[in-house]
Amino acid sequence: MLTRWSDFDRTFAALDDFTRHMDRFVHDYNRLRDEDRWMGVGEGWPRVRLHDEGNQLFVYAEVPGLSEKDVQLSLNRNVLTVAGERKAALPEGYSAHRQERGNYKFSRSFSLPCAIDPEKGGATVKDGILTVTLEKAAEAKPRQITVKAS
Amino acid sequence: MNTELTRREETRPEMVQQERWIKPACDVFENDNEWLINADVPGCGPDALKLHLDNNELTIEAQRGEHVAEDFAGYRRVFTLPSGVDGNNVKAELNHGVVSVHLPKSDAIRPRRIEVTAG
Repeated sequence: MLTRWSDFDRTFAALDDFTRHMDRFVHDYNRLRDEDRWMGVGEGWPRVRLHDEGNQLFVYAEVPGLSEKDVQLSLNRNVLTVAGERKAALPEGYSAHRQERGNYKFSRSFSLPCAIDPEKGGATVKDGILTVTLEKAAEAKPRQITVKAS
Repeated sequence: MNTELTRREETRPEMVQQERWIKPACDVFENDNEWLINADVPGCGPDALKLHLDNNELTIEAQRGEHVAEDFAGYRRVFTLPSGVDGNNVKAELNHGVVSVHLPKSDAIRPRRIEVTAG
């Protein structure tokens, strides 16, 4: 009986081992993909995130090296376009050993999930993050429905 | 389970849970007076940034800021520096999510102009 249990354990131990190897493989793969992305091959530049927080939509874009002046925003109905240019040129008098930070000229458009009030909202750039705040149109805002006891 | 196989797995030191650090994209430049490293660390303020110089190893580390896509611990990159960096005068500035590290060359390796005198 004893030996049989140990065989049983051994099988599961091997399975455990396999799972861990797979975990590590996936982990390594993801990391590799991230590095690819940072070399400018992956998902495009800048990386963007959209948040819906009830009455407002927030768009965050990673734009290191850009200031307010370098970003142009336009809103056409419910399509938001972010455009700009990032220059990572060789500073004068220097020679380059390594240049990974690319020059990017970009224009990305996003269909927003609902109608926007074009009069409200705003945008800021801080520490290389562009934050666009968009106020939803009145009809697109979420409403509370009260539940009444019958 | 304490068979031989599992025991070996559990004592394997490289299998600890790791936080995910991302290597920031970097430029490395050089002129007669200094080396200059620029790194993209979007979302990181001056408080989140840590620079560490140990012998000839420079570590740039920045905690992940708010509103950055994905889940990771931060940016980290280690550079092995050539000899001749004047470690006491290293300067860094942070500008719109780009950190610039100035590593001045020590006098010993700076190119010098030699005056020629008439004999």
